[in-house]
Amino acid sequence: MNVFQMQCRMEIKRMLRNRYFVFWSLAMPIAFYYIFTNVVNTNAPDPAAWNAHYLMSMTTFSVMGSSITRHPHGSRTHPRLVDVHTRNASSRPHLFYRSNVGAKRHSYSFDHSNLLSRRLDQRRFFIPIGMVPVRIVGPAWLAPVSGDRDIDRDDEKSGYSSRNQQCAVYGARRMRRDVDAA
Amino acid sequence: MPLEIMPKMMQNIGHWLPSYHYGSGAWEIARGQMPNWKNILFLLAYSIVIMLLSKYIRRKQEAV
Repeated sequence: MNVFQMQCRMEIKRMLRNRYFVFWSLAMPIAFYYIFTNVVNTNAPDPAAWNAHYLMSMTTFSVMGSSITRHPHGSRTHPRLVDVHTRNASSRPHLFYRSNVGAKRHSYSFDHSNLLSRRLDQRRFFIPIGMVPVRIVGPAWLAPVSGDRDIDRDDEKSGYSSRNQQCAVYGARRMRRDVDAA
Repeated sequence: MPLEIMPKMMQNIGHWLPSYHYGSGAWEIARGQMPNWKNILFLLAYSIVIMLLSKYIRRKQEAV
């Protein structure tokens, strides 16, 4: 599958798994729009203009809400890389994510390597993946510059420095032994 | 909730919130007009204030 498609799929999954987003930024604005355009009569002089006006209101509500609550790295609901598993030196890494939604903890894993390492083997530039903990915004030698400090801090807590993480993503061949030990 | 059905007091508060000015741009476009300069200036002012505030808070966090 092409990288862009994969990225879109993961972004959609990431969004729909975030219950705060689904409720506050999708369900609630839609419900309010329905109520104030179809159920309650607002006595607007021009109903069509009112509907358009209110649609914009709910859109801005949704956009603002998600921009505030879904902080890219600080949010508790944001998936963090917690584990990297490889079977042996030549196998590809499997990355495990964890995100907290409310009191519940969700874990899921995703094998980046199929799409990443193939691209790297071909020595082409590749699209960074939306699952942001493994955020690659350039070639390997740029990684220390482009790495995010908040991510580094999170990863130190969970036992992985960002460099290990980067190595893991770049495929098993470039992976350090200490990641393997986990 | 639409602003128009709120009590007068709440309306006055609402006109000063950044979200009102943010939404106002979209309302004007939906009406086929250009967004008002006043709204843009309002949002700019808000963003400057909040940027300074976050810088201050961030520095306080790092000091600990």
